[in-house]
Amino acid sequence: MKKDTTYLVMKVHTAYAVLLDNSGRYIKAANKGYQTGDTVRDIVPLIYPSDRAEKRRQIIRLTAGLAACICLGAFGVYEYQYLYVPYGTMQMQINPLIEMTLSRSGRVLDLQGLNADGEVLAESYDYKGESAEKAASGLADLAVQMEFLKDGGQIGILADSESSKWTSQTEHSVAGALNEHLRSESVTVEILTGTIDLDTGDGQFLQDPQSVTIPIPGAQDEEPAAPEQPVQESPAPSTPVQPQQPASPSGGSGDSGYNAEGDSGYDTSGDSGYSGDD
Amino acid sequence: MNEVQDLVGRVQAARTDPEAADALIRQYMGFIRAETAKFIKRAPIDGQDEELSIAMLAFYEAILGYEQNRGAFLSYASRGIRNRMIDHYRKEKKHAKVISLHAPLQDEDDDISKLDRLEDPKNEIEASHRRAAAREEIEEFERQLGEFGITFSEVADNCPRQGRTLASCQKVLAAAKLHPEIFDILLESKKLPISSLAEKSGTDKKTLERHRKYLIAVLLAFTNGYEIIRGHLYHLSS
Repeated sequence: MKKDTTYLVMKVHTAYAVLLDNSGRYIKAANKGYQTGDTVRDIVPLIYPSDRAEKRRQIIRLTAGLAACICLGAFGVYEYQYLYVPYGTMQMQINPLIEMTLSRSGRVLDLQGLNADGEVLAESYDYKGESAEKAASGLADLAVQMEFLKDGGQIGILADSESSKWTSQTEHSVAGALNEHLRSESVTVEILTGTIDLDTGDGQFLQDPQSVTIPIPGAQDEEPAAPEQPVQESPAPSTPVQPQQPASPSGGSGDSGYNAEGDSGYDTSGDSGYSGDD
Repeated sequence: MNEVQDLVGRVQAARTDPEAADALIRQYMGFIRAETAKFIKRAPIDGQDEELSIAMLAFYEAILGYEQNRGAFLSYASRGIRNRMIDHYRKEKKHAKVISLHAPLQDEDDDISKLDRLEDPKNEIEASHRRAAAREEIEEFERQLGEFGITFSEVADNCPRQGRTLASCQKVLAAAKLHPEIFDILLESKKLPISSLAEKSGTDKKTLERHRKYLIAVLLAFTNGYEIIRGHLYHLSS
């Protein structure tokens, strides 16, 4: 209904009037005291029951369509995040050290070498669209080809993300897939979850801080808790004086502090230098 | 019980017969007034309260939409009137900032309204003559439509309500204007030459059959003698 539309009153009934608009539409509308032949503007048109039902159906269709779009959109966002947003990383230590950036679904989003050999290996491998398991198997094959990995070697798998569940699941899944793949290739390689200690060859988690004990000479007779304490540089008052030992038959080199006459270096009064109060 | 059955019968008859509908509405004017009064909180005045016109239209809509499984007719009509009134007040809210011409002038005597000071741009006498001429032409048009066994009410019910269908009907009219013999066939045979129109306009025959009454009314308006109606249909004339 255009704003400038006018209506010619064609017939007047008790409750309604038949109007003709400028486009040739015949419309039934509320009879606001019209007379035949009047030209009017603001009308209240009749709504046919069939039109009302059609409008209701349209609203239902529109609502259902909108709901479907929202669901699809929400699902799309979730799927996008599930497939394409970085969720965690997985390091593969062959000895080329490689890090994969993974989505939550386990899809490889990025691959980079963390050392020189790792860079060579990463550059030689096309990971696009692959899962972590497939990429790990492919990298292991490539490492064998490039002679980074030999029969009897080791591969360490270490995943990291905010979710410990995802981390352990990924590690186990990749380790399992690698095991199966290498077995089928008849290559014997030990798969370890965690970083490999290259000196011992054992797979260990080295993330926890290690405590190192340094034994102090002469303090072995003391209490066993002593090694944890810091080593002190001025031991004189606390170190017990050892009983005088006879000079060695060889006469020694003089490094014992005794002279050749058996003089201990203390004065003849026998004063030890300590007051009698002690 | 008989009264209820009688009312249902009359409602069903009023659905197709405009005269029966008018009679039923006149009989239930008390009910319609009472329903209107519930909203405007006073007795409605004929010719002054728009709400009464809307309530009458809603009652007619109830006649058209009533089915027996929807309960008692008067309860159904009451609900229809209430819904229409709510819609009307919602629409009116949008125009709440519009100033009424009947409002009194500011800082002036309360008896003088804005309408009293407004200069009437229309020449009342000329407008009255024009209205009388239009009425005469419309009455002649109605009589001629009657020869086809068609009333304005039926034409309105048969009028396409979708823009696409209306455009198809306008195409038919354009084709008839290019072939004036179609108007002669229409007037002589008192029948719509559907095949010929479908062929010349390229419109589906079914569309023409579905809107036969409407098309007769439109084509008839473009035969000789209906200058005022044709002048009003300037969108079609161009």
